[in-house]
Amino acid sequence: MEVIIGILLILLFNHTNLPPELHQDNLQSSKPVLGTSNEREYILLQSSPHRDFAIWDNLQFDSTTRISSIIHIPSSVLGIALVDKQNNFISWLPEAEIKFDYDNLGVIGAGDHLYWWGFEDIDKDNNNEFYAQFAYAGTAGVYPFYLYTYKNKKFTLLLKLIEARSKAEVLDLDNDGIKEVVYKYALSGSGNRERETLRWKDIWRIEDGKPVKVNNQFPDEYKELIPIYDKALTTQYNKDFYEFDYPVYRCLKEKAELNINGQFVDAESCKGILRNKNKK
Amino acid sequence: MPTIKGAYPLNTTDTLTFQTPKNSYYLIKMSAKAKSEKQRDSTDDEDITIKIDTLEFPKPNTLSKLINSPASFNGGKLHNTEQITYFVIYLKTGEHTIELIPQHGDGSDIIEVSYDEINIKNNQVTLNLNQQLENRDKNPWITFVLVEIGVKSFSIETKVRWHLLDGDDIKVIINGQIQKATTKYRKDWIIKTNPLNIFGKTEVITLTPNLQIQKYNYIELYTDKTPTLKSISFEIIEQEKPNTTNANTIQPYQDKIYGRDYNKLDEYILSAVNYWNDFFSKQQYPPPQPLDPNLVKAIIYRESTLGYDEDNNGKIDVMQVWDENNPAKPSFLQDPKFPANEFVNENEENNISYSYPKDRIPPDVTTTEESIFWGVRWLYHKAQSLPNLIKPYKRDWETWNGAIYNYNSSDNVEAYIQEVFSIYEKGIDDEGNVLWK
Repeated sequence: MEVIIGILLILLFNHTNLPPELHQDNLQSSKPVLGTSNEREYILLQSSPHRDFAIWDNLQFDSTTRISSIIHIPSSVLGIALVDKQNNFISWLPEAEIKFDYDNLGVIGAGDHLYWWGFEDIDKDNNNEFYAQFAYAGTAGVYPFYLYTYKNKKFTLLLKLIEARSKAEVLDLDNDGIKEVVYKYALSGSGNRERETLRWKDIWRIEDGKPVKVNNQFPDEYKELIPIYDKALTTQYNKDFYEFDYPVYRCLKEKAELNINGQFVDAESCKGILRNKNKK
Repeated sequence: MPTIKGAYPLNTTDTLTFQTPKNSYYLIKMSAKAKSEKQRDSTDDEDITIKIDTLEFPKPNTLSKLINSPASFNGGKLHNTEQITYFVIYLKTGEHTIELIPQHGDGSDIIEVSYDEINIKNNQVTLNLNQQLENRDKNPWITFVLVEIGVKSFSIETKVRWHLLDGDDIKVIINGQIQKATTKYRKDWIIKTNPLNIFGKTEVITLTPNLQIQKYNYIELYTDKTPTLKSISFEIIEQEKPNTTNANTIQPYQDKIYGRDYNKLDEYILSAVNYWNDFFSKQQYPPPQPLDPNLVKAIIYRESTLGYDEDNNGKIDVMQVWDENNPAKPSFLQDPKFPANEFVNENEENNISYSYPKDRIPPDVTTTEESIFWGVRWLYHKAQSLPNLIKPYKRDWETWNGAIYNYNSSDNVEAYIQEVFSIYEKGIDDEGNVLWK
């Protein structure tokens, strides 16, 4: 009986517009097992022909549709999708889908864990933005951040930030009613020292529908970085042992000081110095 | 038993391959027929010899006579009746081969080749076979080949009966020596029947040959008519297996600049790696390659310079597994928002907590030893995956390179892997310091 119901449901949902990743033909080892829950008590996607996908969390944003974080249970990888009230999958949000990497037998998503998300008008243009921060479970501490606009019933990716030892905050730094995105990160996720000392932050604001860096508008934000660089540059142990990182510390300090003085800069050129170290 | 290959005529040498999921004892069953010279219209009978991996099976007390050995299928004796040979053999994880070699290629049939893991507890193993073959006349019936296993004693449980004019009889030959019955007549037949057994009887005999461990011990059963071998139980003498997962040495590092002791954590590294290697080697679907403690040492060097980076609790949390920025910690503590599930058995996938030693619950990292213990466990978690949620569940393994990739999960993880492997393979860190030569 279950098999017959399964076949009927597959026939029914084969006509829905499933994305390729969720389509049964593209799922290796797929077997139609449908239901409202499995033994781990996840809520399953009703239109998914494969029980490996489940809804991890929901955010209601209109009367019929929800934004859901979708988990691929065997790999614990998450993506973001639109889902209807009956848990039917509608579509992935751009660049936050779960993909199967058949060459490397892996599954790629937006992260391993969903930290937080929000749906609000952060730039006061009378359209809401959706944002979410994920995390990868690894010593590099990578916390990917996604920001979308929602206009004309369509999500458009505005900002995707993926850096080591990172944290994003969405807050109104200057109390003008428009929120900024502060993304703090390390230029390298390789070692504990690098993650703690090769620090930077970028401050983003949405202007005319586009994300722009506005670092120099918040000079105080960069004052807290100076002691980190000074300590790294004056520690004898670092001087002898981490000679290759010295130019990077000097570069970061210079950039922070420029922002403090009101001149806009980011850390892209410092990243270039670090990349050259890795090439040696 | 999982079948490797079913019935087919054996016309030429055939090499079969099969995978063993773990280091263990296995029972390999081969069932075949071979024709006599008369049946072949020739002056020579057909014979099938067997090779398992690199092992060949000669006659007892010889080194090279493979044809007509107890492990072969001898057409001159079988006259195209079926014989079963069971090999009891210890196999390591991985791929194995069985070579089936016909002498002429025109008079033999393979009926079945299959294998299964067997559990030997307290040197005892019972094989419930319930095997009955076609009628025969004092021909080979079932043979056991015990590879590098001694046998103190064994018992066979049989079901035999008298037929109209003749009865079921069984002969036992151990390493070429016929085991004699204590009866006055027909001493070669250790189990025999008479007309009083017309309704059948169950007969169990126990022999105590005290066979020492040698390359091969052969136990052959010949039979008359159609008895049933219900089971055979061995009390074996097991050769001590080398513990392939246990490492006891680790590459020393040197610090020529500051003279720091980069080897102070070696003992903890060895202990943690050996513990988890041992744990997972005993599981279903064990890793194809145990974790090398030297790789863990290289990771710790890259993560915290072996405990000499003071930042972020680097002196204690040397593997950075308990870092507040690493979601590994809430996963270890079973926070439902941070699932860390893996294969437990064919019917269960669950949180990694199934593997926690009782004396380490709840997990915590307050010492370097604890950081390494849980760091290695996390590396083992990152080394495996569930291919899907369809029962029976399976466990897939990454390479250790892939596990390290997942352990760091950096946006620039290739650099991390390059740096770790430079230390591991060449002894040179990312600044060019030589840690070992």
